[in-house]
Amino acid sequence: MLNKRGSLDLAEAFGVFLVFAFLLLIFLVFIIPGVTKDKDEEIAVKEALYAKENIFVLNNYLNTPVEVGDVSDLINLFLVDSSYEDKLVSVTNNLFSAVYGDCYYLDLGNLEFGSGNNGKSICIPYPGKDDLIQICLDISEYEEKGVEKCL
Amino acid sequence: MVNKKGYILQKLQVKQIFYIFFIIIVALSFSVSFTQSVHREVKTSELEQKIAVYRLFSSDDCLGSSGVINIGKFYDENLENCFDVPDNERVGVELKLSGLDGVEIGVSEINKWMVAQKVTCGMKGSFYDCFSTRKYVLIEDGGEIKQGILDILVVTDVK
Repeated sequence: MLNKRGSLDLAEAFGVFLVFAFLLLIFLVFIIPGVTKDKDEEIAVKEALYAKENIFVLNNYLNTPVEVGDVSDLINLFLVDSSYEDKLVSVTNNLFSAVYGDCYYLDLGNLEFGSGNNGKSICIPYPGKDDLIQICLDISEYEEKGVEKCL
Repeated sequence: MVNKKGYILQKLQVKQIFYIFFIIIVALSFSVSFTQSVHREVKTSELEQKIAVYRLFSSDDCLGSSGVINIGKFYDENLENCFDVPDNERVGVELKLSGLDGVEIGVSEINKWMVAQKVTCGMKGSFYDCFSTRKYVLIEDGGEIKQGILDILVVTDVK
């Protein structure tokens, strides 16, 4: 209703404000958290599957035959004798460069290979000489760019 | 005409227009909220692609055990059987196995019709979505272990 000056009553304006505030509250409390929760769950499942896939790659890398047995034997030797570093670096570089070009990142204790570190590394624990070390692999850059741009 | 009565009528019309907009905004808010809650869904095509790759590696019957590919299992019929794609699941997988030197060892396809749709991937309005990845693998061939590369292409319906 109009007041004597022909404008909205204060009570009416306040009522309109309350309805808007109520709608905003519904949106903030129910709609946005629901949508982001679903998105978070989708990302979590994808990351879990991505981790499983790449653990296979890391296992294959560790089981790759080399002169001294397999790569895990070579890592064991490197951990007690740093003279094996060159051999380990050579084997790892040759192998991953052939498969992923430069679109990968492998972190092996203090040794790092490749430049494709997107912060999406999948790590597995590896028993080191002093403490537990981790082997981490990130091939997400390869999956983004593909074979044409990486090799 | 600007007399006193007309002035009041114009003010009333302004007020009515304001309330019409207000009611429209409220109705839109509720309908958007309702549809969001009813149609809230995860984009499943990407998940299906990841699951397809995982299934291939996790099953000893498909490619081999512990991620080592048994070359004797790398053929269409075996992969179709182990993958067991239900009729209502629209997913296709192309696997290219090659040596570390890039020389192709073999190609296998699961659900050939879906794999054939890969040419439309990336096109505007395409009904199919593709995901490709490459895995470093070990290949078991006659008791010998070789190094290899497995290129995987998964084609799914866009949902």
